[in-house]
Amino acid sequence: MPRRPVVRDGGEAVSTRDGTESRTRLAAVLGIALGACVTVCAATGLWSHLHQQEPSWLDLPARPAGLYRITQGLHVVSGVLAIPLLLAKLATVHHHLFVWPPVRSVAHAVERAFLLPLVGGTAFMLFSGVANVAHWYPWGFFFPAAHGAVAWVVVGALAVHLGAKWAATRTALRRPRPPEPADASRRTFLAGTAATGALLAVAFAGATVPWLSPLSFLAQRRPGTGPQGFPVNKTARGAGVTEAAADPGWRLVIDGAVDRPLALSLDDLRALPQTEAELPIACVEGWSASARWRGVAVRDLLDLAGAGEGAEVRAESLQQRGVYRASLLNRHQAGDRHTLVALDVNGEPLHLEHGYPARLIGPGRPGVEQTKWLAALVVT
Amino acid sequence: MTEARGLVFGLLVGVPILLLGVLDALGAAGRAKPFELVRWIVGLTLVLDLLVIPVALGVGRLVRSASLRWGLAASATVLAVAWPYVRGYGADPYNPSLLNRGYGTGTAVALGGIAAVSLGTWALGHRRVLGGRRREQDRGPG
Repeated sequence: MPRRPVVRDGGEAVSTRDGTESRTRLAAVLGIALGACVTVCAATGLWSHLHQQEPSWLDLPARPAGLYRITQGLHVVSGVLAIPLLLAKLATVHHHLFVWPPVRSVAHAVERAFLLPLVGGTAFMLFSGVANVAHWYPWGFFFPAAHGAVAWVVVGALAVHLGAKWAATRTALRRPRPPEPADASRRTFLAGTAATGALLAVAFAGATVPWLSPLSFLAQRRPGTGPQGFPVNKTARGAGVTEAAADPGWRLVIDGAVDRPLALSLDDLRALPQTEAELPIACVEGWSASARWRGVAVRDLLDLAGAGEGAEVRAESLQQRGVYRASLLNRHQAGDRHTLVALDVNGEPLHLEHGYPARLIGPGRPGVEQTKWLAALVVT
Repeated sequence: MTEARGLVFGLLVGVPILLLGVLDALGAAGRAKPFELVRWIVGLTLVLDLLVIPVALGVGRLVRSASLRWGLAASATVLAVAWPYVRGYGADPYNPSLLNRGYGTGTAVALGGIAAVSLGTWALGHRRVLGGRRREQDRGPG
């Protein structure tokens, strides 16, 4: 039997039906906002994934040079924005958890079954994302592999949920707004959720947006800190290259599909024509910092070695172990005039922590792909 | 689009994408550790649905003021997100450029700001209610 509206004495009408309609509308609005954040997060995450695991059929451009810092900054901000939205949405629909009977039909059972990967997967993505920015890893899996796999699970479960709820959401939003005070309560709840989201977004955004940095109390780095004025992610000690990088016998080897394999010392590299470029280091964790780089253009080295037109290159580090000890340059990246074997930064020879004696730097690449302590360029 | 038709459409689009993730995790099982992942996903769902949300709703029922409810919820959310930074779980003594902000102080300032807005809004609303009641009393019956 439908519940009848209840009107209290004193004129402050509290209608049960209005309360239910208000909550349904609230759930719909929160769902749309959360879905938008998850979509932005997923799209920017996919962009990052494609950069790090570029399929052979894809040919990512090297430009714009600063695109990755923007997309990865958006990735982190949309993720933290989603945290209060998820909590608010769950609070709004929590009563559905205890409805009896728990399933009304096969379709209802299917819809509810997909809530576990949706809710649990989203919670996992947000928790692991925040933990990754904090460099906190209370688990046994490799973060990029787990985060990437669960992202697909969440997107798939979201698609199922959107399909199941499309009609109900449209109906809820098309109905006239409930009268006061139900609607005022809804607006206050939404405003409070938005305010919390905005606070968290500002707390992290300063890692990418410099003028927000003084307000970003949870940004991973303080701007301008680190050797030569910008931060370090992987240290030489952590990479195990302290001795190898300082070896006076170090040579940058260029071989693979080339006519003339080369082994160039630091002096040999400095004797070649130098190119300068202002490029950012943009980390997957959302922080970025620009620097002025100077070194030899990769395409000049490939010409010197007699590599073919449109060559692709694997840049290898002195670091012996780890997923990021090597990176790939596709033909656009290898051929870009500002993809450098950098020897200097901000007017000084590279610091050991920034990749001395030489590192890779190129436009539009994630920080993990800007290989430090270069050992070889292998033309594939 | 009816609910049933919408669900079917959602399944046709969503299930292949979801399976992509499952296969991705299984394919990189050594790194992704899929069974541990499932434990995390189920565990976080249970913590949210059986602990966090019920406690939040329970506290919300005890606190009548919307401003104060927001203050408590926002503070709890910010503190939960800030906790690993404040505790310095990921700090590296060999990398002073990593996690090098005063996270405790910054979080305390943020919580103070939330408290100020929350209490200020509550006090403002409280004054308006008291003022309105006084005006009604002054007018008297009839």
